[in-house]
Amino acid sequence: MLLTGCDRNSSVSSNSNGISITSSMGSKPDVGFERALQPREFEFPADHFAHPAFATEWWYFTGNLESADGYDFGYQLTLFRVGVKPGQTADVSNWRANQIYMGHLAISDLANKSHISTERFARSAAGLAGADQHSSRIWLGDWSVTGIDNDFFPLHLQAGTKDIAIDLTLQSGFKPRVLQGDKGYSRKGAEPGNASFYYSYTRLPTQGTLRIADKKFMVEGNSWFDREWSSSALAEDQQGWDWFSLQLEDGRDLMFYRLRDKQGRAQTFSNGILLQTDGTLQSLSLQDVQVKPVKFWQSPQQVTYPTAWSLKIPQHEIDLQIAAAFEDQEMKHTVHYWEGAVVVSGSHNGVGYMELSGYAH
Amino acid sequence: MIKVGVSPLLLRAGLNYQLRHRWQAFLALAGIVMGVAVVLAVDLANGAARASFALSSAQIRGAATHRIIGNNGEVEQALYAQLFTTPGHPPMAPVINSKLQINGYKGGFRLIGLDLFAESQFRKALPSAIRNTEQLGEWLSDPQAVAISQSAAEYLGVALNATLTTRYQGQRHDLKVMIINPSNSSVSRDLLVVDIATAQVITAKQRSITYIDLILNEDDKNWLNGKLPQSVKLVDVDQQSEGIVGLSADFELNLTAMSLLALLVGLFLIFNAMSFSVVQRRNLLGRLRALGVTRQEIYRVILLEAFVLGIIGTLFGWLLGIWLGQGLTNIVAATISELYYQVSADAMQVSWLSLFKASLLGLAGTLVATWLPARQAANTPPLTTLSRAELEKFVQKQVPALAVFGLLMVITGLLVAFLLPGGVVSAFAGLFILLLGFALMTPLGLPLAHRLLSWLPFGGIWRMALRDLKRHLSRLGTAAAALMVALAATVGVALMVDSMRGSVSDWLQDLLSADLYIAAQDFQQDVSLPPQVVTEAALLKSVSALSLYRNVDLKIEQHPTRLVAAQLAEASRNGFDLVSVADADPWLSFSKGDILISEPLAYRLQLKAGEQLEISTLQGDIKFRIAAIFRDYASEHGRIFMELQHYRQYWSDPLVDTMALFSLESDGDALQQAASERFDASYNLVYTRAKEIYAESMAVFDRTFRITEVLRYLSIMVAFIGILSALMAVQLERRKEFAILRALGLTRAQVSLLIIIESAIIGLLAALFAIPCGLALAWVLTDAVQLRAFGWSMPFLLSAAPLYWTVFLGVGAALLASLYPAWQASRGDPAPQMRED
Repeated sequence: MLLTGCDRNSSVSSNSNGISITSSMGSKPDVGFERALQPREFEFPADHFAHPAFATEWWYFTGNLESADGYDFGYQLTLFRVGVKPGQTADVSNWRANQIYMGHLAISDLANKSHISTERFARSAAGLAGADQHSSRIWLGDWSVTGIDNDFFPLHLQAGTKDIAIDLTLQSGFKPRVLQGDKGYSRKGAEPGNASFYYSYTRLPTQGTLRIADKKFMVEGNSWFDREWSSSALAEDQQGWDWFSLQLEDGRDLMFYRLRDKQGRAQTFSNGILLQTDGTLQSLSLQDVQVKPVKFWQSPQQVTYPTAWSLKIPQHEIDLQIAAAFEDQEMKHTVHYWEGAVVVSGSHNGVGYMELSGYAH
Repeated sequence: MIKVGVSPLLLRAGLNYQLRHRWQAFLALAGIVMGVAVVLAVDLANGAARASFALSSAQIRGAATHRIIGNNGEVEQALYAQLFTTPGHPPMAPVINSKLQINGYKGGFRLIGLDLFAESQFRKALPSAIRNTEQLGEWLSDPQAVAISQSAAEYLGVALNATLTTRYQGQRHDLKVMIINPSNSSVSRDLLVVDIATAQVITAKQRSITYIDLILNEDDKNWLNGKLPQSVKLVDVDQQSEGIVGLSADFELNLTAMSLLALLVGLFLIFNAMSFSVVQRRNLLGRLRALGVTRQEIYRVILLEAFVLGIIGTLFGWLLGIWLGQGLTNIVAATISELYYQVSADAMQVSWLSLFKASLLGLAGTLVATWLPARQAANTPPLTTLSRAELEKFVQKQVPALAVFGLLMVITGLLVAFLLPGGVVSAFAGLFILLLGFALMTPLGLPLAHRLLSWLPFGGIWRMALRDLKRHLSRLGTAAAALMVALAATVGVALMVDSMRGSVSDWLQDLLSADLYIAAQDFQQDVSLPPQVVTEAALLKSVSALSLYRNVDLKIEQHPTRLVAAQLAEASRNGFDLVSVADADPWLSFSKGDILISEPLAYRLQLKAGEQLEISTLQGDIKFRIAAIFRDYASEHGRIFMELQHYRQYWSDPLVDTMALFSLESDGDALQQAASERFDASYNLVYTRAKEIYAESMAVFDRTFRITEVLRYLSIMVAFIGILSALMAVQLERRKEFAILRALGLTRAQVSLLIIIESAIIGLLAALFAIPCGLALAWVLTDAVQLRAFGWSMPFLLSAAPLYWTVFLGVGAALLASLYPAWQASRGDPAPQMRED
């Protein structure tokens, strides 16, 4: 999942919130914010919480879950932190904020091909939203990610609206934390500082409840958790990206992001990892991976998304067909993108999540 | 209905008559025009104030259905954060709502502090105005950023990035216009929208907000159950704004009734003009009857004439009314803002409903006023079997019966006004009945004056004039009654205002007994005295006693009510006029925790001394016993006095706003000197003497009654035109008679003198009748209407000035009215005039 989670080409919608924040995640490098220039030593659990010196940060959860009676679901909970102005506020009112939080919540009901999503905002002030190591909590109003132990894991995810809600517990599982790119330093472009700090938990055993309208489901499955922060943006010639997080049935996890230029071609900064069952990590570059769209879908908003892909990694004998669990999993909020559950078949079976950005004009 | 059965010929005859008597027709029209105009103007002004409030409150409340308000006027922001982070919370938005001044502009502005992110479901205007991330960042972090509407920008004459220098309780804050919302709505003209953090800084609220807006359904109400502390309340926004609009209902009714009084005077003019025209046409009507015209036809033609006049008068009334309404809108809005709630003096909207109401009143009134003259006309016997002399004899016989009937109406009016339950409406109904009763009694004054004045040892012209009073009773009687009504209405209102002013003045002088008052910065709420000043003031040289006050705004049954927590010195206590007490020593009960409530509050809540009043404190709802009810004109919403120590117990608020100091020598200067030596300029103290507060308070009173004054002047204008029209019509009609007198040998001067004497006597007579009538009106206005409208009881204080005024106005206008007829009667050759009609 890429840093430029919301790029300049993301179209602006105002269906849930009247605020039009074009490229809320910064389309240009934010002056006054710290930049990711070289690898760093991570410190945990401190790094699980906010890095306000950087312009953008997120806590990104996706997962494929199954209910006790056999129904499949996908979910996404993302808390974004956006620095609207660098530095600390110095105001007698503690409502004054330089940081805001944006939250996206979505549930995909695979049986009914229904994708319901919602968005919300709050300022990081007056206790409304924030990330607090002391209480081991990242929250936006009544949406929260809470570390149950000092160790951060297991995590308790709670978020909801009138239409949908999740209440999930995520165990740390057996897979190690993955530092993406160069020991967690993930370059996204040629320009120095056009990079992020990025780490992932690829397979977190998950249990809890989902609610769609008044129906509650006891669910179980695996989640993927991405953490990323930076002050960077897409370069001039970059259009968007296609991001895959796959959990294969043989126990391996695969992540790959494909950065596209304006002509839709994959760029060299595209990158990924393959995590073996025993925790061994192989990094993947564009040369290692052959990835191409095989099917397109036009959304009701007249945006065309590639919803089925072929992904081959010859050196690992991987030849996958990745298809949207169902097509309409479009996120039509302040930032306009496609994010949804996928089904993996071919040389290996599996499940996963796919993010398609930069298609809405 | 009226069209039926009137031959065009008859109608033309009728209208021709009006055309030939243009003066009369014009003066009848003047009555309708003025009456309709005043009613319309007041209705438009009231409507404008109400519409302005409805729009601005709709704009401010947005989609909110409920509101969490604090028992001390504030809500801890921690409560908002707590609810906002509790799963399942309903849509909610924090709001800071306060008044503010902008340097260089009159009137108050409204400061609204909002959280942009909470707004999308409540008020769309702000979220949709933020265009991009940069603007969002600026809006959130720039402590000067303010959003205003297009109408505000035009009103203030500012563009983007302009600086507005605002003042909140004397503190200066510069704001920079960052957003101009395209709204042209005039109600957003006085709105300044800022980020809630900015509003908190400006209003110096420490970690608190004004209220929390909510959108609730039944489930959400259950969800909220048990989550709210005792220091706050959940209120329904509809009910809350209804309560606020309801505050001014009686005030508006008062204005409407005053305008109806002006209409009534106008209708008397029409009545006078129409009766006069009928009397004048007796011969013609008789001849028509002899020619076979039926009673019905005559009846209808007179009504139709009046109807045509009514329509013309109403149309001109619209024009004058709209023009007047524009002026009144400003005054009404200013008064409502001062007394009740903030409204902006908008461009007044002319509503069809108002035009319709005023027209209906004008036309229906005209027809009612013409009904009696039309019946008289219809009853004219064929030919003139009844001579003029016999008509007058007949009228003379009727006059005493009429007067008795009038007396009965006066009594009925008083009974209705004072005894009938029904609030302000029945009080005004009684007032109108009373006024009509007096009008019916007035014609009796003419024969009485004839008898009394005949004793005076004057001869010649004087005696002729006196005889005329009796001989022309049919004409002069109605003229005198119309005059009386006009004069009485003005004197009644004037006496009421003077009486209230006197009462308020006495009350203030009793209350303001201290030698020096000390406050912080301004006599406003929320600016409290530094604690050190409070503790050390008692030790100052020459201070013999002191009283401490803390003001808090509460809501009692949705009405804003002022709680004054006070530690009162003996001298301060003596200033209270307790109108009813529960115990032998109410002050002892007060110091033990009972409260004192003001008369308006007692009247509104129907509370008596010894009963209990429930007040929402920070410790929850507590019932307080009422030790006494005190006379109070400070606020018609009501005030509550509570002993300071008890207040602190329930509100955990140690602050003091104002301090009253007494010295043995009553030397305010010495006190101030001692105080300013002890507390230097950094304490920001303001020293005020009783007489300054007195002057300021009386100025507020005068501003409050400015609208009444305006209506009074309007009534005087109507009255003046009435007197002029009634008398001028009578005298002009007698041109032929005067010509005969001149032919018989009277000099020009003698004829003129005759007319002037007659007019003066009628003017004086009407004024003399207007005085008791005006006193009765003032009594009803003061003791029935004001009590019911505001809960104020006040001793009726008589002031002499309005009485002189009435006599002066009556006689003066009468003399003025006689000038033209006198000049005309004495002019030229009497022969052609004799040949006239």
